[in-house]
Amino acid sequence: MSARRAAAHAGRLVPIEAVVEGMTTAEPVKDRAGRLLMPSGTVLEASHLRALSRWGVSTVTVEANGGEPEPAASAPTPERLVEAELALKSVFRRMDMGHPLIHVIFRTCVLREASRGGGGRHG
Amino acid sequence: MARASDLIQGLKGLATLPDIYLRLCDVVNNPHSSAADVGRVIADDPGLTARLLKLVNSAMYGFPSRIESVSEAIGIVGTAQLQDLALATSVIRAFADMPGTLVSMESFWRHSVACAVSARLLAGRRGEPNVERHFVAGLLHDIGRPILYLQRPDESARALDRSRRSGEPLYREEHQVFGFDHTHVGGALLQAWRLPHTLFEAVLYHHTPHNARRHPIEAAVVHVADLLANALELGSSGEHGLAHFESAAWDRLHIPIAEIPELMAEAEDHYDVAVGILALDQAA
Repeated sequence: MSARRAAAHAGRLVPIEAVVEGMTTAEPVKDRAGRLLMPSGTVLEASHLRALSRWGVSTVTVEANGGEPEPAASAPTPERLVEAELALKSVFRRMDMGHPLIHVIFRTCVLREASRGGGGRHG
Repeated sequence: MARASDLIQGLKGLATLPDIYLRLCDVVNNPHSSAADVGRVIADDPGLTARLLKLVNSAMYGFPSRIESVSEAIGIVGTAQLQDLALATSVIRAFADMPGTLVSMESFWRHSVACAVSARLLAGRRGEPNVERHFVAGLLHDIGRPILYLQRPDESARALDRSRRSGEPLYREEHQVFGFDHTHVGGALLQAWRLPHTLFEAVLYHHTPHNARRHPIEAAVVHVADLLANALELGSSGEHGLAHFESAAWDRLHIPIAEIPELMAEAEDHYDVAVGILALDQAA
């Protein structure tokens, strides 16, 4: 479609540090050896971003129009965080919460739980 | 009192590993065989071939171009690692027919896969050369549990019930009820299967990694991976929540704590991939 092509031509070059999930590639992404990593039109997800850094890509051309990322999911509210902490207390009940590793695992689980909303837990 | 190894002798169909894995061991361990010989053994089993190709083409590997053949996969992943992946898929298939008694087999395998992908990522962060070996160790760490549930359902139900009431970790209640726990049953199975000693120690000592004499890193990796799998609440082998933590095992790994949040996110991605490919709920 020509409108899409026009958008692709209006791509902008973004350093890897500024590439975020939800952006769409406007040109094929290649590694240093010229091997194709992702075709143009790829909507970048977390796994793509990891692959880009793994393969040493330093810049990506993303669509300037319509390629902007979806507004990031709003940060979890303090209420959600408290709910998540309460829900996870029993999972961590035997752990020494003062240990740095346990603390980090717990915080990661709380954030994950709080940002995915209610009703998602199992087990 | 019965011994853990007694439970293995009564197992029908699981006393030995699938033929394909044994044939693969023969060619891999034969100094005169080539990568092409290994490829031929794998190619004899279309289901295994398809799974291995899906795995090496998945986000777990992140290779930029598509791997089309077993020989290419061997070139990239290596024969030893491919052998371990073949073991992983063979074991899941061998257990596919086992009835879920006290805990569903699907939930059990989900927990096992969550531990496997976490172990693989932890080993990768350490720069271990054989990450698939750690994947298999994680996959097999609780393999004693379904055997306990199948062979001793009443006492197993009692152990589960005691753990729910007392809040003690399930493996300790198993010890109270049986005089041994699922790690000993798993260890006995791995011995019966003549699997490498690294796997044996990783499984036998995943709750007591300080006891691992020859392979302390393998046991520590599975110990921490089990914590992550339980924290992520992906499936369950009967335990609810994090069982027990030995901080010395974590110290032994020398992985920066700051890497843990990303590693957990990656583990969740890899978990989805591996569950889909290993097809936990469908026969092959």
